[in-house]
Parts: sequence; C-alpha cells; structure tokens
Amino acid sequence: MSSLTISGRHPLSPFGITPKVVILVLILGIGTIPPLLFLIFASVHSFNPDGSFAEMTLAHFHEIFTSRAFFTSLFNSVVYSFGSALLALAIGAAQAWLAERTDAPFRQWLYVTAIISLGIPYVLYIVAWLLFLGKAGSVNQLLAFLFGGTGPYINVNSLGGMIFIEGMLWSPLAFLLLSSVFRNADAAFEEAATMCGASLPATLRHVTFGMAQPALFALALLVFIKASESFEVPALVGLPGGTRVVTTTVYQRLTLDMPPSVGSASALGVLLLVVMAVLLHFYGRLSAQAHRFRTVTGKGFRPRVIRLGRWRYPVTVLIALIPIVVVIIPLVTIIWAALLPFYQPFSIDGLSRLRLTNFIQVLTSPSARGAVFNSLVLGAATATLVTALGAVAGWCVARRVTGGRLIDALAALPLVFPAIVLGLAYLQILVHGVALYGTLLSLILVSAVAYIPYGLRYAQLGVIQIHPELEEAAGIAGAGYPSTFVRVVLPLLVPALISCWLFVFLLAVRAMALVLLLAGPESQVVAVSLFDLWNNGPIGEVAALGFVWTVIMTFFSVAFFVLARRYQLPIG
Amino acid sequence: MQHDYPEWRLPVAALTALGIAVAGPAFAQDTAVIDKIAVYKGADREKLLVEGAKKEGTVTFYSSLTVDQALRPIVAGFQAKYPFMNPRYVRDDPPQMLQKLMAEARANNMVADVFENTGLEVPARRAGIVRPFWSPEVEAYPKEHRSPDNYWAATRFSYLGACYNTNLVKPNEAPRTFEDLLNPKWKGKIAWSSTVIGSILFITGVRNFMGEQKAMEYLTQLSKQDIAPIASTNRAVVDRIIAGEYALCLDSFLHHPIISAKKGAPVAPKPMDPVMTLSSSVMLPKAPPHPYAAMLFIDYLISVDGQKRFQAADYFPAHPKVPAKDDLNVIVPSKIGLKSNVITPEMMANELPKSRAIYQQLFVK
Repeated sequence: MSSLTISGRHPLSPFGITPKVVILVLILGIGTIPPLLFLIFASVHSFNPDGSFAEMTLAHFHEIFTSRAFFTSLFNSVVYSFGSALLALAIGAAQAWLAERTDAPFRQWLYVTAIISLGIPYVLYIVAWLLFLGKAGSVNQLLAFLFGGTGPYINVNSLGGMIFIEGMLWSPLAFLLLSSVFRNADAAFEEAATMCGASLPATLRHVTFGMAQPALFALALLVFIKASESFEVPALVGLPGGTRVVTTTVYQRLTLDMPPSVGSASALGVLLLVVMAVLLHFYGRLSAQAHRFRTVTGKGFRPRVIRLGRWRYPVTVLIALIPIVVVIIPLVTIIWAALLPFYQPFSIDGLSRLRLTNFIQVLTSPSARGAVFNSLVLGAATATLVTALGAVAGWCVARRVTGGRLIDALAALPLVFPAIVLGLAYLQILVHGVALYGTLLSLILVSAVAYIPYGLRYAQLGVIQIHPELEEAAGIAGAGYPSTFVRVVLPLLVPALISCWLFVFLLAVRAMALVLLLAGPESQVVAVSLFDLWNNGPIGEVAALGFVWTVIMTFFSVAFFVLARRYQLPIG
Repeated sequence: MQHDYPEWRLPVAALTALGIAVAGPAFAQDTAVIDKIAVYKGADREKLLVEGAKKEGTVTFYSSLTVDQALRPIVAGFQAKYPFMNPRYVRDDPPQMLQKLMAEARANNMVADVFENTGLEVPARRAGIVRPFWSPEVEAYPKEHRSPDNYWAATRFSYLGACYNTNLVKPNEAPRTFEDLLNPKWKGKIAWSSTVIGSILFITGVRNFMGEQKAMEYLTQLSKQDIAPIASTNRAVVDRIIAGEYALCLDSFLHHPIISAKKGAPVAPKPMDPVMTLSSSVMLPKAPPHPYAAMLFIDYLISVDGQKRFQAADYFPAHPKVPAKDDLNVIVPSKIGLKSNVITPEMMANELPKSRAIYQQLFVK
C-alpha cells in the first residue's frame, strides 16, 4: 500500500501523523468547524429578539417534517436534484470528451462557453431562461404561431423546467472537472480497446468513462448536494407553477421573518450533512480502489486524442449546439433585455426600440466601476487560496495519508452550509475581530472556506490518476516531501488546478448572498451595487450590468486560461 | 492505514486557538456622550454637535436607499454642508442590515452611527439596539408620521397598489376596487411578490382597513384566484407584468410602473382606494461610535435640505414642506382624491405573524 510507504517515511513522528498534516487540519478546522458548530446550534435553538440563542428546541426539524405536503416536496427534491446532477453530468461529460479526447474542430471554444456561462450572474441566468421559455416567452410564441391557439405549449414552471435550468447551471463544473481528468487519461487504453475491435461507443463506455468513474461519482455528489440545497431555481422557476421542494418551504418561511430565522435553514443543513456523510462513505469506498484509475505512470504516457474520422461532422454539429443551449440563448436574451427600455419578447417591433441607454447608465455609474476592481481582487485571491489549499489537501486525501479522511471530511463540510448560515456564522465571529470585520480580506477568507470543497475535489481527482511510483522514484532519488510535491506532483496536476482556479474565481465573484452579510464601509463596493440594482432596478439595467460583468469576467478568465496553458509544463 | 491517532483532538485544538484569537478583551462602548446629546434640547445644541463632529471627522450611514440614485447624493449633500466631515455608507436590504446591526451590538463593536430602512423600527427596538432621540427638525412633521416615543423619524414614503399590462388589459377593464379583484376573469392572471413587503404586507393592509372578519372573507375569496407567488422583489414582479407573463399585480410600489411607463412600457399603476402608505425611518443605535456626527447627520436627513435630495432622487420625501416631483403626484392619494391606508411601522411588525399565518393558510397550496 502506498499510504504505508509514504507515512513510513516519517518513523519519528508520533501516531504516524506528520506536522504538515496537523497544520493542514488546523487550517481547515479553523475555517469549517466554527460554522459547523453554529449550524448545529442554530438547528436546535430558538432565537432571542437580539439574535442570541434562546432555549433548545427541536421545532426547526419538526417544522420541516410536518410542513404541508412534506413527502411530495421531498420526492420532488430528490427527482430535481438527481435530474439536475444527471443533466449537468451528461452535458459536461460530452463537452469534456470532445474538448480533450478528440480532434473535433473548434473544440477549444467549449472552454470559452463554460467560462462565459459561469461568468453570467446566477440569478440573471435563471431569469433569462424564464423570459425565453416563459408563458409569454419566445418559444411559446413561436409554438403558438406554428400550431395556432394561445398556449402556453410548454410550462417552464415545472419540475422539468427546474431540472433543465439547474442542470445547465452546473454543467460548466462538470465540464471543467472532467476535462482535466480526460486531459491526463492515457490514450493507450483507448487504442488497445480499438485494436481489439471495440466500437467508438463501446470504447467510450468501458474505457474513457470507466477510467473517469471517481470523477463522475464525485461530480454527481457535488451537484446533487448543491441542487438539494439550492433555493433560487426552485423559488423562481418552480414556485409560480406550484412545484414545491424542501428548500422552497424552508427558505420561504425564513424570508417571512424579520430578522430572518436561520433555524430551519440550519436544520436543513444538518439533514443534508447526514445525506452527504452517507454519499461520501460510498465515494470513499470507490476511491479506495484508486489504483484502478491511475493512468499517469512512470512509463511514457501520451494524452493523445482520438481521430474522429467519419464522426467528425455530427460531432461538429454537437459542438455548435452545446454553446447555443448553454450560453447563447440566455446571453442573447440578456443582451436583448439590456438594449430595451423595458422588457418585451423577441420581435421585429422591438428592434426599433433598441438603445444603449442602459449600458451608458451602467458604465457611468461610479459604484459599479468600483465593484469590478474589488471583485477581481476577491475572486483572484479566493481562487488562489482555494487552489493552493486544495492541491495539498487533495493530495493527502488521494494518497490516504494518516489524517486524510479527516481532511476529506473537513474540506467537504462547507458544501452543506447554506450561504445564509455560513454568512451569519462568520458575521458573528468576525464582528469580534475589530481589525478584520467588514474588510475585503475577511470576504476573501470566508469565500475560501465556502469553495474549498471544489478545490479538494479538483486536486484529489487529479492525484488519483497519478501513479505513486513517480513520487516513490523521487523519494528514492533523495527528494524530500516538499520538493517531491512541488517538482513531481504539481506539474502533473496543472490541468486540474487551472480548471479549479477558473471555476472558483468565477463562482466567488458572482456569489452575493455570502458577501452581502460581511461587506462593510471599506469593502462596500463588492457586489453590493449589483445587488442594489438587482432589488431596485428594472430588468433592463440589471441585464446591462450583468452583461458588462460577464464580459469583464470572461476577459480575465480567458486571459488566465490562455496564459496558464501556455506556461504549463509539458507532460509526458 | 493507521488510525490510532484520535482525530477529534485536532478540531478541538483548532477551536481553542480560534477562541483565544477572536474573544480578546471586549470593551463596553462608551455611551456617556450619546446619553447626553441624543435628547439634548439646549440652545447651544447645534454648536455643540458641530464642534464634536469636527473632532470625530467621520460618520457611517447604513441605508437601503439606491446607491447611485439617492445614497451618494444624500451623503454628498451632507458633506457639502459640513466640509470637515468625511461620511461613509453601507448599503443593505432590511434583513442583512438588521443582522449586521444586531451582531455589532452584541459584540460591542458598533460600526453604524445612523441607519435608515423600511420595516426595521420594531425589530430593532425589540433587539434593544436603538435609543430614543430628539432633533429640532422632527417638530415639522405631522403626528401620524412620528414615533410616539421618539425611536424613529420618517424619511420617505412609499405608496403601494396594483399595476396592469396595458396590452392585456384595457384601462376601462382594469380593476378599480378591491372587490373587482375577485372577478373570475382574473383567475390565474395575477402575480405578487411572496415576501414580507409583498403578499404579507398586502394582507396586513387589507386587514387594517376592512377589519378582521371582512378581511378574512375577502382574502378567502381572493385565494381562489390562484395568484402566482414570485419569490423576488416587488420591482421584479412589475417586470413580469411588463413582459406579459401576468396581466395584473397587486403589490407594486406605484412609482415603479410610472418610471417604466415613461419609457414606453405597456404598464400602468392602479392605485386602489384606500392607498396603502408606508414610511421608512431613520434610527439611532444605542452606542454610535461617532455620537456628535450621528446627531448632525440625522438633523440633515430630515431637514428641508436633506429631504430635497430625496425629492431629486425620485423618492417621496416625508417632510410636509417638500413634495414629490410633479410627475409622481398621480399616485399620491391626497393629490388624486383617495384615502390613505397608513401602515405604521408598529402595525407592520406587530401584525406580521398573523398576516403570515393567513398567507400560509390561504395562499400556500
């Protein structure tokens, strides 16, 4: 067992645990244990009017289980979360395979697609789809025109509509994660399969995706958990049509109180914690067989692409279709809304109304301009922190060093914290630290906690592919832990780390719920003007700001991506 | 694999370290100055405040006003009047602001000197984070828009009512009264915001002017109209009406459809008698870090000068001598011959639990 080899190198450390692991656990523990305690406390306490904990109670759990139509909601929640995970995985996997394993034309554009769709502010993305697919939206209008009658022909305010939009939202995560996995997959296996007479689909099923099993499972787990606790899509898409899931009940109750009662949201977080623990247990069993998935070995490894041959043309069509669905439709809807003085569905008549007024208003707004700079700092710092911490933690987990399971559990925790609970927990902590409260630095640290689960997963899945013989060889050649990690592991991990950085950067700059509660007078510009406009502005101005935002974020992300890929060390 | 190390020890150690790091010495903030000047009525009041504020140099204003449209101009106006001041602001919606204020108060680390918002008057008082204050400017305001015990002062009004899509509804077919909303032709065509300031406030308003029993009968009828709950702000609901997704909404801030209609949007406000009228207020924390500047800022905010900034920003000033802009008067009840259904801050908060229960009983399906 490799873990024995590695921990065996430190015979002097007590309990077989190295100081570096202790430091890592400390860092993760400081980040995740206080909000965990807050979550658990808040789930079993009522609150005083001043916000402090009152007596213990199980009322929050009681409320969830006895809410009207709880079992229908629960059933809907499971279908919705599972459906979203499946859809995100299907779209993401198709994109990743095309981009990394084939010679399909224009495949690099799939990265731009993923980046743009992550750059669009979350809620705006949802609203764009609602406007496009809604009762008065273009699709229903077109169908009414084709088939007569008044419709509506499709009802977006349904479980199907929710799965569609949530699945779209998470497909870039699936794409970025799987693309880094595919990038390091050894083509020799696929070639062997083809030589033995396996068809392309059979090779795909048994070899390409077979090797990506840990990544597929990890992704399904991430999206399933995030969808289970998501509120925006269920509320904006499902609720008007009468489709309820567990979170709609919980969060709606929460917003109908002043101050918002986080008790039931915390109780939900605790329940999700249990679900996640079970899922992680199965995931742990899968990654225990990690040796099956190692493709980066000491032998010359060639991450070569598959020649598509006659499949080339249908695949090109697919490459054109994916961006249309994932990005172009919502983006065009946003641009259309931004150019109009008020929203109306696509029409010839509307063309005469198009003006740049909303854009001018946004670009000349002093607070919006300030927001961009601070947001870039927030995003870049958070992404760097998460990627660095994730790389070390992911390696420890994948190599199953002593304490690795604790690291895994700690780093996965933030996944179940509802943003509003995490924000409140840190507000209560940071307000005591006079120097940190309200600063940009505090926003960066808290964001890093929120996104560490992704950092860990990206890196861990990357390490699983790397055979430990490379590290052992370095050890034999006299390299210590740090230099083995920096000179052997990191260069091989670069594709995963680039994807991770991008994903976290784009997620951190658009996350509002978390930073709103922590922003003070000195970090006031971060995301606040967006939220302000969001709540008070007409859709045109929101769309204009959202579009400008998307362009800027896309520009920085693509620049980072191109630079990172250019200076990446050659593999193999 | 070795698992002989008790792994729980690490988080415990981490927590202990964190506890030491954040607990630190907690100081009770000094309130001697604010105790004296918050309600001071002496002739030298203004001189005292200006001299004190000069030494403090800054004031931090928490508000839910729109940043570019109102918050910046108002803060700039204050700075123009007192050039030695360097004011800062934090923009938040009511829930986040209340959570911040409560956390600051409990940690004895108050950052806010003054705050202004809608619907926080009672929750803030219940939390014990505000104190009564007096400003000479308050005397100009009529009784119904003053706090009975000086815990808040009104800064601006909002008028709420229906709005409709003019492509889908002809003006003569639009509902005129609350009873008209029960017409079966609206079934499935109405939307509202499923928030405290949306559907819940609508229910409180109806209860206030109809009386409990009639209101309950009315709301039971209304619930048969299958009103679509939109989990967004009232503004976002108006945008859905404009897009043609729904014909009618019940709870718009009436100036929103006016602003959009001016740009050509197919939407019109429909104030219904009596028109629901809300006020927003300024409040004073228990221990503002810059007490002199805080009082000076409150004076400015509710003075004619400060209120004119609200007017310029298309808000409805609370000061009786500062009217709203002319084109906004079509929804001000006193200007169009309708009655006001004033929902006081106390009513809004105290009736919330019952209205919420009615909402969940009748409208959540």
